[in-house]
Amino acid sequence: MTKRIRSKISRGSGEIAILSLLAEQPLYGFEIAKQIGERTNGALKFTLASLYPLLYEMEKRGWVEAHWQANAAGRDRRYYRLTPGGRKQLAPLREEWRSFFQALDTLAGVSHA
Amino acid sequence: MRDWQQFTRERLETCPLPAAERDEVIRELAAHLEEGYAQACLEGLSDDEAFKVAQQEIPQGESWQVLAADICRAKQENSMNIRTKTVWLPGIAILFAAGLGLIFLDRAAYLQRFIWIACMAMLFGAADSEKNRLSQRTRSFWLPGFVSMTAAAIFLFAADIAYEPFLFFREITLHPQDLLRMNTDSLRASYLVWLGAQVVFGALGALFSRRAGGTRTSRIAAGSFPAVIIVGTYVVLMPVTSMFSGQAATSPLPAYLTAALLVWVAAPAVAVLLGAAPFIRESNKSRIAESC
Repeated sequence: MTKRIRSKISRGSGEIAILSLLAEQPLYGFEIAKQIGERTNGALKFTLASLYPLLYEMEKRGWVEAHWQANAAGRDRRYYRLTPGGRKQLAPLREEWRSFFQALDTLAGVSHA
Repeated sequence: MRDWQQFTRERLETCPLPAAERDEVIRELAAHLEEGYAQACLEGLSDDEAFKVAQQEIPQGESWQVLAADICRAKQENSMNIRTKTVWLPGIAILFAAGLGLIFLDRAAYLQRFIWIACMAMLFGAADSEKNRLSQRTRSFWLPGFVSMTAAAIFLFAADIAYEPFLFFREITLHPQDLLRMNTDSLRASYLVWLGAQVVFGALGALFSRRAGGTRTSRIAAGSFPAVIIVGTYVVLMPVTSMFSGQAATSPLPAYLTAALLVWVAAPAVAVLLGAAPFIRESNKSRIAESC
């Protein structure tokens, strides 16, 4: 049960992290993982194994869409961008996490600020 | 120059997606690995060190087989196959209920066996219909375990028919006294052949589990599944059957019970584990995959 709860929290945090990043600009998988790591000072870390199943799941739900594009060096990358459906998900997800942290703060003095 | 597409393809060959979709996944994951490798090289790491950095994208303790299963699950539609919903699941539920009722009532032993085999056949049909949605645990433990157990059960029925056909079609009970009734040469021969065959069934379960990327624990568990089920029979079915058939008063003597446990539980358990032993070690191929 503990593992399941941890897994759900981790999955939920992954979804909001990816949606928030893609709300700013389209990114490819490696860059998504890199930016999440850098912008959270390594607190959130995505590997190939954790990132792509989540991205594919979000793509299936219609929250993100992807297209191939070559960079200047001719290297192919699959860029993800937020769909209108994904953008709609972002606000309620943010609200859910805000409530979650407030509840934790009330209960255990764990503040997200 | 490393071929990342080939590297990824070799490790995702078990991913049962349509070819075009799998190729796209391989292309994308290979690009990710290549990017990590190139960046590590730019930071001044040697080729080998950069390769190790790229490999760390699959954290220790996880495997490419698990990743392949996760990706398949993420890409597949959530809805259950229509055949599973309308044929397999109702069929399994009806047969299971009927078989369980007959077991508890200790009636129609031969019918119980046919119901059991039909139930397992339908379960495999359902697993085939839903193969793209099965979790890694189902692939590497439950399915190999059920295959091993069904093979063992069918072999037992076949041995019964071959050696003592009249026993197959009569009422049997789960009382230790009856289970130890080996008073003819053919019954003893039937038991010994069945016991010897357990080695093969243990090997079968462990082999299938290993092929599905099962961990060492999964392989041992899948290989010993037939023995585990017999233990379950002793712990649950025998007492319940005694109660339902009103034979609780004639409770089995401890000596009979111990002897029956040795003959039908301990001996087969040793046999299946012997069979599973060669497949419990890591194969070279899975060792490579796990290390990456």
